[in-house]
Amino acid sequence: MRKFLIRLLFLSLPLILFLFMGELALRNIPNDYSFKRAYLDKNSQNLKTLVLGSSHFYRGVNPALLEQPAFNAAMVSQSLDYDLKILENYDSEFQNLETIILPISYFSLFGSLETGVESWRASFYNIYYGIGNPVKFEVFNKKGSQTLSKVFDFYYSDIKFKLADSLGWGRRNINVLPEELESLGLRAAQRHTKKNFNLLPFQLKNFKEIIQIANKNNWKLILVTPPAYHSYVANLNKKQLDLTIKYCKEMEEDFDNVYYYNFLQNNSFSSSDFYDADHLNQDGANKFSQMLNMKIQETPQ
Amino acid sequence: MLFNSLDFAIFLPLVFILYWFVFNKSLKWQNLLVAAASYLFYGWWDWRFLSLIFFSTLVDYFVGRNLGIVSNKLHRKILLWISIIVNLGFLGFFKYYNFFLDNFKSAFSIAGYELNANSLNIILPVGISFYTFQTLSYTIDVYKNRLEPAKDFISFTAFVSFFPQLVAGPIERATNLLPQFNRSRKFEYSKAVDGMRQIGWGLFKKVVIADNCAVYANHIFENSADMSGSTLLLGAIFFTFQIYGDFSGYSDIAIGTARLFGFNLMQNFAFPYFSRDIAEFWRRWHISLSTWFRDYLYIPLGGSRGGTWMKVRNTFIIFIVSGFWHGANWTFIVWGALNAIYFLPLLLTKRNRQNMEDVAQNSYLPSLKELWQMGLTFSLTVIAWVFFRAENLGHAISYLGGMFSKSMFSVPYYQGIGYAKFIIPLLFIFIIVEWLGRRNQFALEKLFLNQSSFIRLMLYYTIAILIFLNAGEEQQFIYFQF
Repeated sequence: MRKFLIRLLFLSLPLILFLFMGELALRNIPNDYSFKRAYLDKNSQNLKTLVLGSSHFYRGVNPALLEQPAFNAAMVSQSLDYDLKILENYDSEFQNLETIILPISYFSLFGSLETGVESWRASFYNIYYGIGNPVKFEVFNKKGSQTLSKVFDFYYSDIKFKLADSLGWGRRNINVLPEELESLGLRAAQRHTKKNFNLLPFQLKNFKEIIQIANKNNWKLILVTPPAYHSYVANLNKKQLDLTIKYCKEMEEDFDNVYYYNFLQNNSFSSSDFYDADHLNQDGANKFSQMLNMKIQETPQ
Repeated sequence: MLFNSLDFAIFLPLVFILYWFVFNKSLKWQNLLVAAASYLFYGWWDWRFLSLIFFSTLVDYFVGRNLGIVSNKLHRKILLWISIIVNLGFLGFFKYYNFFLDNFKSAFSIAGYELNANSLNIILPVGISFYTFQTLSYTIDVYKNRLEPAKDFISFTAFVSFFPQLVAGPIERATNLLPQFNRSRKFEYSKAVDGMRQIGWGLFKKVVIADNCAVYANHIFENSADMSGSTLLLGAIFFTFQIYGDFSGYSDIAIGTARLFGFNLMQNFAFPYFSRDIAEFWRRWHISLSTWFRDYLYIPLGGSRGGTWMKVRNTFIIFIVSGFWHGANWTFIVWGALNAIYFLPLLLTKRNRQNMEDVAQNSYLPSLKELWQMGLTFSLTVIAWVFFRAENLGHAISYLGGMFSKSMFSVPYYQGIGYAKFIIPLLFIFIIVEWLGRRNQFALEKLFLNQSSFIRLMLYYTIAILIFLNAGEEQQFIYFQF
């Protein structure tokens, strides 16, 4: 038995060491998550406007055009449960916060980060935000080959993994052809249409808790269904979309501090404003952010 | 809990240390630990279904105990049927309820009636097809007086829920596994080392071979309408290796893990793709299920005794039931029936037992005849797997239609196929290693054992690095869904 354990340990020690070094190397690579946490840790007390949500707002809202100081804490595939966790984490520190802008996209009430294709991102919240599931290791997050190439890309090719700007906006300066947007719309709509609504009660609970936190702190909560290209809108499931809008309107009616704006089919946006069928590019995001800011100004404090 | 997860990498050493260092003084305590660890292992996935295993264990334990006491034939039969109804009842409800309902509804609607019943949103408990068959083997063997009823409830619980093979087999016979729980177990260095090698090889098959093949197979099957015949053929071949790597990999990890705890499980795969005919393939593929059906269905039905009609009937029954066991979908039934059709000529010409020994028994390479036979058997298997993998019968037929078209002779292409260049050489190396190790329980069992420890060390590290490079998001095992 002793011989077996010693040999096993001897055999696995280099592997464990290799994994440990890999984990250290990965954690030292600056990324959007570590940046956003550091920013919030340092500046949460001064913030007036906070943007939460998924890539629709990470890409689509430029905080520089909102009531200052503003910060975009949205991330790719960040679902309502993670928005809530971030809010709970900084609840007591948002001393000057006035407005939260929260996207309620077509999929927001029906999906979650942990059950989606981007579930590997869940560990980043644990590692870099200190929230979410217990201890995770980034080294096991993706295929080892991808992990190694990330380490090489950063340390040897000087490729950056922090993509957001100084206020957390993940701008994307890309234009695509309208023909491409047609096929992209169908695919995105199919991806976002849920086979069942099993997660609806869970996300509704999180949604209500976000509202309660905003209510308790007297923060304005602006709910927004973001703009999308018509090829995306045309392929959405009516029931899922109707439920999304219905719950948003109900919340607006039930709570004085909640406002709902539906930009899904807003005519102000054309193909040149999108980099895919459901994400705004830099120009679209600037246009959208200005429109959002006007809405914030219109709503009573 | 998945074998290829970090959770299991922590769970296994913990249980191993507790088993050999803390609970090693008493067999009862060791069995209790195995049972508790197995329930934790299963509950990690969904604790609600633990009650199902526990209930099944309870019923079979008491049925077994009473079968040991009761001598009245009718009463014994009733006891056996209680076990069969409970176990198959659970399986039928969780796995087949919606299938039968939907088909009844379709049949009624064809006849002009509307059946007003809704499908249920049922979650299939992981491993239910495996553990129900395992416990059924126990009650049937006790009923047939082939096995003494279990006296100790803890060891029986550990037998039913034994975590290495709980969720995807091998489906152990009570006659093999249960007595092992009642014997004291001593740590054996060579057995443990063998176990580790088998776990490593199993992980390699799952993570490196199956999961990589899955990427291409999934893409091609999901977009089959846009693919050329040659690409579809490639997709079917990728799936053929995916399912082998996935399931035999799982079995290797299960058998290897059991060996670490001093248990011997049956071999579940014996290099089936080197088979020279379909009969040999079925003696080498998912052996624990094939032999289960042989012993508890085929032989009671009369087996190959009786006339030609009886043989044909029994062959079709066993293959179709085996197909249906895999899933509540017509694709599995057709897959089973197709294998029966493949098997039939061999049965009728009494050549189904002509290839009982390993291929190329006394040489390194197969003869041209053997090569041709293996190629033909492999091709038939590839075609059958299309039904197994397809979403529905229409998909399978259109896939095969597309495959057997003129474009079958074009160069395979789809966007992203460039990455497949990595997996194809790896598959060749894999086939060579499997070929060299084909006379053993698993390819690496004796391979390289005569080499220096340095070479072996390098081999282990190469396998470990390849696993690391290919491991990432935890990929489910295909057979979990059955």
